[in-house]
Amino acid sequence: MKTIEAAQFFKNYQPIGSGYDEAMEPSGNTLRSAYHRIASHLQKVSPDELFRRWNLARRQIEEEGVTYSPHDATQESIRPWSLDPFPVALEESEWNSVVEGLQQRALLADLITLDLLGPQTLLRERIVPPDVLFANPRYFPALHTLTAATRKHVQIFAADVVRLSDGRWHAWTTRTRSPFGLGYILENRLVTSRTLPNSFRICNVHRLATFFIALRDAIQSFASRHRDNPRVVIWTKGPSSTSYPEDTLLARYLGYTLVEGGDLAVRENRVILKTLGGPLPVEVILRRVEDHLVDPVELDADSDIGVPGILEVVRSGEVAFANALGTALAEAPILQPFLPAICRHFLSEPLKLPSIPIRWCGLPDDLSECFNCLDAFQFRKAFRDGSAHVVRPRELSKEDRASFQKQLQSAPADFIAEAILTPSTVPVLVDKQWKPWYLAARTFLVATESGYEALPGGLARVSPKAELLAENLTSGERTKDLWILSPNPVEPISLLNQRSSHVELKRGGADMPSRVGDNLFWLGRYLERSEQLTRLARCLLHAIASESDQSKSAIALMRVSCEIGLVPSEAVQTDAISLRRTLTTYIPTKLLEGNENSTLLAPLRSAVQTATSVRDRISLDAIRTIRELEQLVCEQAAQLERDVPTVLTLLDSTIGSLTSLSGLASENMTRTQGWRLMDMGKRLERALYGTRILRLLMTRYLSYEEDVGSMEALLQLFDSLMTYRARYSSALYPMAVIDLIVTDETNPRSVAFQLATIQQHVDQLPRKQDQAVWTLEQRLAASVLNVVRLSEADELAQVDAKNERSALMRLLVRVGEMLPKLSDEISARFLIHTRARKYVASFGRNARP
Amino acid sequence: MTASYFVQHISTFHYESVVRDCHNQLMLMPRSDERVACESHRLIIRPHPRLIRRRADFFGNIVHGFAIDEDHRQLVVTSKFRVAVKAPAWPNDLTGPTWTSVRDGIARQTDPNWLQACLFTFPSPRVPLTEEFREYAAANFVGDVSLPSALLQLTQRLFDDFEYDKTATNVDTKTETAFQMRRGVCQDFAHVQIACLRSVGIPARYVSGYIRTVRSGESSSLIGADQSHAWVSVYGGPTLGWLEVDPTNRCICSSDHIPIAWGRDYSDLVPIRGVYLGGGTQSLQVSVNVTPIH
Repeated sequence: MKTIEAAQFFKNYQPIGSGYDEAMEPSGNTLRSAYHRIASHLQKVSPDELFRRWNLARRQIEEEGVTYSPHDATQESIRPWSLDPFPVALEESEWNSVVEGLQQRALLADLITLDLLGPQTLLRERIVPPDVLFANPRYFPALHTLTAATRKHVQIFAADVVRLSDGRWHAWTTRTRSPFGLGYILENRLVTSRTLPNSFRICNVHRLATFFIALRDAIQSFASRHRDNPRVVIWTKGPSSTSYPEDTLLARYLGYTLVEGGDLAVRENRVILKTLGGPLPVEVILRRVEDHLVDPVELDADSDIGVPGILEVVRSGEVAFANALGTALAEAPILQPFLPAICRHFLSEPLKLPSIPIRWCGLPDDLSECFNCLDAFQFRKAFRDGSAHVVRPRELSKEDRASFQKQLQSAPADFIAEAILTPSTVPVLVDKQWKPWYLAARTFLVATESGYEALPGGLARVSPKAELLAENLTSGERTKDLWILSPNPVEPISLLNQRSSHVELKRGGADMPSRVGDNLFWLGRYLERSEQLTRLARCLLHAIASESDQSKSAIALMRVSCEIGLVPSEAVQTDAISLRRTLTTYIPTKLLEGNENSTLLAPLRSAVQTATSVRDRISLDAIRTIRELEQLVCEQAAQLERDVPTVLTLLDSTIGSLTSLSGLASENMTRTQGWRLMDMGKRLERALYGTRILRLLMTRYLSYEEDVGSMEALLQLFDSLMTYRARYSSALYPMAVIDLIVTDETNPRSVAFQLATIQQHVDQLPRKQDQAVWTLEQRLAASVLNVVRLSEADELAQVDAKNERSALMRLLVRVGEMLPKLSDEISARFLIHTRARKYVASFGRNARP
Repeated sequence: MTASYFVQHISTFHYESVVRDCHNQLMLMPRSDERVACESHRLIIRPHPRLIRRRADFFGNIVHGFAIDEDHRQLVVTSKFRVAVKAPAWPNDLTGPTWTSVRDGIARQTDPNWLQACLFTFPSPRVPLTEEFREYAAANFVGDVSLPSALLQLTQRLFDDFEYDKTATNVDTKTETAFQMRRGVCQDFAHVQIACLRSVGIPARYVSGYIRTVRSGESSSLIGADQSHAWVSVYGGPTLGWLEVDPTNRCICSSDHIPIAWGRDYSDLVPIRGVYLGGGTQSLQVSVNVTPIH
């Protein structure tokens, strides 16, 4: 390989003179060996070509559904940085020395946790000041009672490392509670390895999967029972938290159930997962939730995401947390300056990987030094409290600087001071030119039986300004994949095809969390409601737009629209001329007005929201369609030109999206309980809506013309006009119409069809094998169906002396009463326990003088 | 002097609607030590929990945990015990180490008990340390005053400056607010005094318990009788150990004070705390009876 040709790839790249550059030797035009190895396969690849491949790879993996927010234009901002196509590369030999240092640090973090919560030799022997534990605002005495010395507590350890100008790697921040970033690493690897497939293969890049296998083994080994196949859940903080996309991705990748606090409960000293099929015991919880929020009974009483009583279960060893509770104590920045001493204390050896220069201002000498050269330091809180931000006095205005000085003086122990760093640089493509950007990398380790295993890779963050890397993990402008190059060929390995021995085949999805089931049920209802309302709006506008004289049916549609709240009641006019005027100008404006509570848009919004909260359960195509709907909602709300044709176009595309969602659900969703609940929601809504429309249009007989208008409107709204015409040509017979809309079980829009489907679904819901009698919801579903089945269309169509179709009215009233009961019963039996609200009460608070 | 008591503490919770399940933690049984001997204790909970777990917390206090997973609209917790109580130590003539020597012994980690005591110099959930508290305490904690003498003066001043007022504060009132209002109940008195002591570097802990209803030979009741009470325990150096004062009653604690538990502040020692599902609004009735046994 020719050095010059390899260097050609990084044409015109100029490292910053003084610092360490990862790609170039200090001499200026010689590549370091790792970069040389990669670039030598890329001489013919121009920056343009690199970007083309990178875009292609990105699109591919999006389509395979491994990204965070696929097809998701509006949520792009969730991803904190963009991915740079070219990796950071290190030779294995160099990496190994970093890993040794990281392994030592991970072990120390574990020892620190155990010691602070146990024998406290660190305090007793004055290795660290007592502030390290007792001044931590997240310290709770209850944590002391949770540790068991028998196993490691820090299961997943992460540290940010930087290489300083002396060429040595230094540790910066440490994460020991629930380190963030593994999901991004997986994603970066997928894109980068596809962008540079040859280099990836030929350069022997270490695979990441071994780490995840070790992680899965580690998690499995904590289970107190069922160690061969324990139930493991990932406890996420919910869709609005920054880590949610990563939680979703890890849950998929590792095959664990994603849960929120409300999905878990404590029963008879076990943690259970509330599912459609009933409670299932949980053995291990991989948690994202902060220590102090997990149990409102013993820890932070204000936590509304915690699981009451869970600490008792932890104490009795029936459930294990990863990382264990209390490990958050070991990630406090205040510990960093004391690490060399802690290392000597526990391991009788020096710290292998140095920390960046760092001081705790609680020590008088260190404080005065920081005070003397304030500008050389950046300050952060001695403890992570979720609001951590970095203060650089040299960037502050005179007043702010003075006020910070005062703050530091009055509470020095609250701060640590870090030297302002100049990390190493790496080549980054900026506008097709290679530029030197600063680098910080997050590394991960997992506990194994013998020690800690490092992820051979990491999350590299790069930025043109070194300070920008300092804030937190999401700061910095771009990420890069981190490649560790082996001198020897590496085994290709993947988590997915591992363990071929035996797989238990599964069906049904009864172990779906009830919360997810509830959301799917309501998603079905909201989608159907939107479709019905949009259809109604469209029929109404069509009646206006068409030239034929449909005024009777238009008036009928208008009446329905008013009753349902789609248009204000003052819009109803009886004479044809003023009606037409109202329809063409007033209605299109009113339909889309009042964006927040618009009758038309509200259910659509709710549907999009609900879908977002269960996006790990629905297909990517469905998510894409839902995003389209969201766009439509925004467009409709923002629409200024509200003439009939414009609004009609919008309504048409909305109906298009909604129908394609129904199509996706019926073609692509496996018939699990989740699908069943969603379809049941849809059917219930359709039946309820149908009975309501029928009551409005058909129960009163005014005149022959009015009745015909109503029937026409009815057939349009039920999308059954074509079917009717095919059967009976154009004349409208009330009996035939009522049969088609109410009692005909072959018409997928009829009330009877909905009820029959609901009854089938209800029978299929999970229940005990040995159940002897029908449950209430089974009886309700069967009886409402029978009420309709036993009706005769002929009788329903009869008009009595008071000009009413009283038989139809009676039927509709009964069905209209029974359906909400059925819905409530299904919720109560399978779903509702997730919705009951918790009242946190520190009872004893009143019991005092 | 030793006194024996029979104590009965009944808490009755009524709920507006059905409670489906609840998880609770109790701190109602006295911890036994050189000053307190709990001779018998009974805990009666209705409805019956399937299991009551008993354990010691980090400070050595006794905690009972239980859960009820049947529907209920009323929960009654009755704690009954017999206890023998000795008066805590107090130097006869207010002599003792200077307050600065106690402070420095902790700060410089030279006091043999520094590790156990230093926890009680840090801020805690209900006790923030601010400049206001430090200034208030500085009037008594000056020069070479002995710790017992400074402590007694502070107790006296708090009693004079503060008004006992059941309506001014509630259980969630911040200690700073009670301090600004100069009003509150025993919990506020104790928190304020602890904040003052800690902000000058003296370890102070919160004690929850009961107080004898009527002093022997007197007819006037003490404040805090018939309910649970709270006071303050202060580290007086290795020789004196922990001293107890009652700022609400302006007195040095005696065998009239029956301690149950101690910790950093109220949040460590809530007598009954829990979380329940459903229930709507709750109301609580408490009755406490402290009967001396002769």
